[in-house]
Amino acid sequence: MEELIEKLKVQIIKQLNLEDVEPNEIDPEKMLFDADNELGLDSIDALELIVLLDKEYGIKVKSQEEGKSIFQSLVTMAEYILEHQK
Amino acid sequence: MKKNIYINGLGNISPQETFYKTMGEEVVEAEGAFFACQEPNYKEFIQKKLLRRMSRIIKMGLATAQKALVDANHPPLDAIISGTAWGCVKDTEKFLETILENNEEYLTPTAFVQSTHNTVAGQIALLHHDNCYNMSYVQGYVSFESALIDAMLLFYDNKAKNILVNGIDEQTEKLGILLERLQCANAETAVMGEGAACLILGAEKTPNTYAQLAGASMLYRPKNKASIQQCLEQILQEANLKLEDIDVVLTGNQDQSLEMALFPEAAFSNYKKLCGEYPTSTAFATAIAAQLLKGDSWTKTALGINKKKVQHLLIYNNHQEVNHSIIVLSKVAQ
Repeated sequence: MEELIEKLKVQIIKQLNLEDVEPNEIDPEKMLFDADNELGLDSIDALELIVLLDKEYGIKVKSQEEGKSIFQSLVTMAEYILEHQK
Repeated sequence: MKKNIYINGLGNISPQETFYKTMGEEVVEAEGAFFACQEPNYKEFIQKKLLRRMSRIIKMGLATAQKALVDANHPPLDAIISGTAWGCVKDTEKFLETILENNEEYLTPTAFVQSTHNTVAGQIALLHHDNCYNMSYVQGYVSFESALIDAMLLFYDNKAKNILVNGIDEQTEKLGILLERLQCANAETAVMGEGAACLILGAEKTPNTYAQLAGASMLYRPKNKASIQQCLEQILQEANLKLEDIDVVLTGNQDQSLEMALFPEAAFSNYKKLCGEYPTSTAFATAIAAQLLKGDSWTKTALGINKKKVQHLLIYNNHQEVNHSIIVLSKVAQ
């Protein structure tokens, strides 16, 4: 799990082009799309994360509701990947 | 009806030091086949979270727009008009590469959204909350001139008091290779360049006015030199000028025989030695011409113009005998 979270951090930084953000600056417990999150992610980033899940882990997000629970935080993302990865 | 139009603000990113200054103390010369821009620190102008999605040309377009608006003291805009031939070519390349690499799957939205030619004009409008007329001209080597003429017509029709007009094009390694293959460029005879120049045009003169835009015109595949001369004379006549009134000719042409014959008393300079060859290079030429008319000595030195009195200036560019363009600027008494 820890290893996957670290891998996800690097992949997210690359996919979302988060300039000047280091992996250790991303709190895995923090809400990813919260207004208080300094990453400042928005709906286009959500689309980018859906592509990332599909491309890197072969997981297709089927509904908006499902997406909301998967992308709550890095921890929820990692848990979902471990459960559903083909 | 023809009206006076003034250049009231400028923002210019080019291979020269034209962003923080009017012109660098020393002329930068191209090294190799590609003349790259000297870019500013974009974080001074664009929020960090917005910057991460922007490719270089978008950043260049936005930074020059911001600089020009500040320079012109933030007039309310009635139109935003862009001229670009290559558009956001880096994002287009990125999007096409993703299609190939991923077998037409997993296409990310950002590169697609920003690969269109009207991205820069749209982003300027979004950033400044301007929902005014927004247009992008993609007309090859007369893209900037098309934007400029659209702006002039809006002024003539009383539909605008202040207009942002820019000319923007970025160069990439792949684009350079393609242009050579298509015989649209020749690195041995002309160094490829790039740039983003933004003008704030106004119907009224301000204390910051650089110059008056006296006229602009385009010619497509003119039959002979006589028809170019006729066009030149007509544009000058419309500005109440004669051939002998032109003090300086900024030319983008390697063969300058026509200009030299028509303007024997004028001082000449090839502006492309400062910016390289690219489709909207005349936007760069217009920006530095405006600076020169306002009396900027660095620009005059960089262009190698020795004439003391410069009242009227003509920019003439001819791309492969297909697209010819003429822009006339005049000094404004402060």
